[in-house]
Amino acid sequence: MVLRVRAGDRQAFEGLFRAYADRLCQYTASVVRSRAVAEELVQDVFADLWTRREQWDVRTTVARYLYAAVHHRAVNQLKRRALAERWATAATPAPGEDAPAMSTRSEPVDRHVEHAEFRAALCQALDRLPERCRVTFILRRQHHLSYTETAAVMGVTLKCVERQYTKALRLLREALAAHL
Amino acid sequence: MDDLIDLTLLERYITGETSPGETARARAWIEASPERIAEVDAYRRILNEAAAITPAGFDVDALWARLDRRTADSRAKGATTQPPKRPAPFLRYAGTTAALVVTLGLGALVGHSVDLAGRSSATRAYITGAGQRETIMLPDGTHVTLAPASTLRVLRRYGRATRDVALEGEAYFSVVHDPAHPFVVRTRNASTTDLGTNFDVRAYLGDSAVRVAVVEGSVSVRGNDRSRSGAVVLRAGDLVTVPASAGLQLTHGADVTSITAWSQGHLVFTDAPLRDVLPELSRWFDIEISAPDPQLASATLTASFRDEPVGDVLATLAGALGVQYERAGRTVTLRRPNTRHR
Repeated sequence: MVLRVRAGDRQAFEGLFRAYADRLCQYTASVVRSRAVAEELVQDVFADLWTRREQWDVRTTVARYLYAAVHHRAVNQLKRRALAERWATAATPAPGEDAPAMSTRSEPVDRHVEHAEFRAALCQALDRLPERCRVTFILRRQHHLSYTETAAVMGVTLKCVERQYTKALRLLREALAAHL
Repeated sequence: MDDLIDLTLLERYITGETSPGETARARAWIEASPERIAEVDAYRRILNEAAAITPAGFDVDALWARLDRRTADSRAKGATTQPPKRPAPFLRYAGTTAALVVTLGLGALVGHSVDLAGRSSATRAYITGAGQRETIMLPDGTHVTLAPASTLRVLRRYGRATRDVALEGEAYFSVVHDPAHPFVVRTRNASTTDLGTNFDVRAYLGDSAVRVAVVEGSVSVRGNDRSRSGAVVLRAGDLVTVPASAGLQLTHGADVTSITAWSQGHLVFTDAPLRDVLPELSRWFDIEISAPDPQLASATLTASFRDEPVGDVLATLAGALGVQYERAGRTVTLRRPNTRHR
């Protein structure tokens, strides 16, 4: 796939985009908290990739490469918006930004009200996690990256990922104590 | 919680990623007190629920249309016009990232990737639960759609000589053909080698036989018990079943469209006995559905379902079979009318 894109194969490029666009947008949106910005950033990554395709050198998996690229841009975007402090400290959604739209698409079973309440509480608790914790948890749990991959994407050490992930779990457990 | 156990170990235990030794250690810790069992349940619920959250999807078609226009200029230039330049900052960043990590070899990152937190990398597994379906793209561009309750293991040696994957459950493969690196699906009773193609392999543990159906191109299937069966070559429309203890049974002109409809989200049953239908519905809709009455279990069903609420599925099922059902949470029992009060 990489070789075909490098050789200028438009179909391979489209296939690559279609295979990853939704996931990458989801992830980026959860970092920048805006679906519109996420769409732009992901398209930027792919446009850049296409422009410089001859030099595209993936020494790791395509997925890890793409996640790392969008993560980098998303964090830069946050910095540009002078929201870097949010990255370092606790998070509250900025007013005016669209909320991280959580819907329950393709829910296989119509479950109970209690379940819906639990999910809503979980979404809220997730949203209130410190930023690094939240991103770590999302990459690992919702995008199914391994600890190693998460560390590579975020550009931090494995130990740091483990620490953040464990912290996220504990905080979620505390926040949801009433529901469990 | 007591800190005697590492929370990361517990998390990997919950998600089924521990080695046998770690599993034993986690079990011993958990079973030491009822509070710990409850605690693990609480974490399990958080983890499962978090993984099940699916934010609203993006309009990929529209995004592609925009990107297509935006990158159309460089398309005309072709692949050879640009002289190699110093990598852009973005690419340099990616380069350092790549250098930072040990390449584990493979894997698009859909599904549930299990690599024991990077410590062991023998295989990578993609796992779907009941009610889930997932499409994976392997590094060579091969697409695999996994049916609910299925596991696909991508062996570490993938791509080196052969491209080996191991399947339990059902998957639809759309393989990028490469004669130098044959694509091989290993299952309980048989292995299937791609000869350029789209095909479906089904090997749930509860099934009496492994089944392979070819939609396009051809595959070769060989029973694992070589004393009993040689390899057969299947072409489009062919279907083979491989029981544990008998030879291969080949059918030409099978209804492969219905067989693979699931990969498009359609569940199709044609004169299927209820004893086969119920495990399938249980997997698809994440319920436990049973028909204790043996006569009912042999009744046949012709119906098709899409991603619809389980209530609608049960209503359709009950209507088609003329039965009643009782539902308690995830457990559903089918009964013939009147049998309950006898």
